[in-house]
Amino acid sequence: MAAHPPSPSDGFPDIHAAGEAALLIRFGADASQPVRAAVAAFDAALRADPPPGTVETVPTIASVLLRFDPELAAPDRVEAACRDRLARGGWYDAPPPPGRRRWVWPVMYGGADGPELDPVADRAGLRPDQLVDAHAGRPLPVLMLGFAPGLAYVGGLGPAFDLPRRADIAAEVPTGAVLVAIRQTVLPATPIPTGWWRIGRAVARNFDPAADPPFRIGPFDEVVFEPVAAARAGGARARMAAP
Amino acid sequence: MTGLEIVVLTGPASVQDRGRPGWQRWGVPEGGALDPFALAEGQALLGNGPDAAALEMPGAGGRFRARSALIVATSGAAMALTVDGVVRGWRETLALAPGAVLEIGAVRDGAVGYLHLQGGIDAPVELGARSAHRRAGIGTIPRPGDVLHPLGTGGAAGRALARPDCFDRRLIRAMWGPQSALFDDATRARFAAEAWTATPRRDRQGMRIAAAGGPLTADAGLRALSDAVVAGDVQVPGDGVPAVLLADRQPTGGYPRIATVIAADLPALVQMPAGARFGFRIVDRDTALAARRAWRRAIAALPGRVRAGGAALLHGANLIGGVVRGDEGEESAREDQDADRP
Repeated sequence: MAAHPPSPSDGFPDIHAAGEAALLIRFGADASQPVRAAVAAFDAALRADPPPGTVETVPTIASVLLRFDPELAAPDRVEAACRDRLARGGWYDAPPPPGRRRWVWPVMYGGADGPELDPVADRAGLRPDQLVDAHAGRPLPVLMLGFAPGLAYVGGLGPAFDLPRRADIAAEVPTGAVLVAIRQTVLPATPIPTGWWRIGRAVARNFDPAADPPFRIGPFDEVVFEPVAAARAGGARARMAAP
Repeated sequence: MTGLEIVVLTGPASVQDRGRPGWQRWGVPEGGALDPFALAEGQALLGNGPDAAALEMPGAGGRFRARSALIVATSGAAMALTVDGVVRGWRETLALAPGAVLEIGAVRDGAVGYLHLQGGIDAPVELGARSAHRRAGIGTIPRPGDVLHPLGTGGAAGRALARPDCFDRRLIRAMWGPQSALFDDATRARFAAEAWTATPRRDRQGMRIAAAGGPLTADAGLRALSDAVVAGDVQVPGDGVPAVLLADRQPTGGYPRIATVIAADLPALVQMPAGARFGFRIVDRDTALAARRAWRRAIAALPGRVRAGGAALLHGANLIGGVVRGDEGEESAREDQDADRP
């Protein structure tokens, strides 16, 4: 983690053209808290007052993509508008944007739902129940959504989860799989191939195209994993909690 | 009974429209037609609106049976086409009588063809679009026995458009991107100077391209922090064989991207058959914008270029011929590409 917020001397933030119809604004090269704060605040600022021609903004771990229609707004002007905003400063110590939510996300750990709970615990020198304790029960930050619809990358895990991706790729893991590696949790909402370790299954799915809204966990939200026994999973519901 | 019944599908067909921008922050691929120009050709031929959906047919089509009198159109890559056994021309509107059998075979010129119905295909709108995304379970992946229903009625047979010259384009313009600096000078120079070949390893997510000089140098440890991906990004995975990311690209990616193909040239790349050889030319943003404007103007001009050239075909002629093969492409990007060819 950076000892101090990234600064112009590190080259951040910087702006790059990503094709002729998008700009990528980068705030750092890691997932440190100041970088994530800057991404969240800048994304919120763009959404609150979109530059002309804005199509959408896509916040990720350390950057924000601004897609625009270059026939509605000249890229030079959009870029200048972004530079003006960046120059106002304060991004790296900005408070969380309004609207951030905390989700309680019930998970059935181990067993057939989480066949790799035991090997992951072994690698960490923990019992399976200790690994569950290290994963559940406290708010963890959503780093971004990506790869597939509704798939959330959740950070904030400790050294017990500092394990590499597996050498082999599982052809497909089921919807709701709870996957861990590199101190992150991934929550796929559709079946995906993966090289991450499957330790459980969530009772909720973060993508339902027929629902309104189709997604629940969003960028910059927080997630609290809640262990639930498989026998009681039918009664468990994902829900919002007061921060 | 109405609509067009799917009897057999011989390729990975899917319903596609303009796609669903606006959901990328939720992890949703934009999707949409691989060749937006070809999609627009079909809209122009039938007078459909810009939101109309078509059946996208990479590589091969299938057999279809009209359950009622229908007007349909074809566009994009030309494919072998017969109606009740009679050979018909591509990029035309066709009248199908009830019971008529439409046979769409293998691609002959390009890579991805489209079949359009009057008013567009009636498919559920999900997240603002009718485009299907196979892996995500969004939208309509048709199967034999399904019936495609038109959203409109009427229409006129015998309308035709000329073959666009993007099928002949073999110099693809690209811009350096945010991650180009992760590659050393020699690798970037190779990317710009190489003789590239379109490979058969392709789907709606991306197409692999092979360099005559072998794979690009890809440091196994070279993994950028995941950020948002845009259409046309040229991703270099560990094996050094780049993939140009297309409509169903993942919304975020961790493999470094060396460059981005400009929007105006993406259809030309998509329509290259396997084995086609091509080169990249690195351009600046102003050049990319000028090309984009010319491309958008060419799309806007399509309705005015529709000709009643197919009428003779109703009486057995097989090819469009010179009637509609005028100089339709004066605003095409080909001229300035050729002028700059090294």
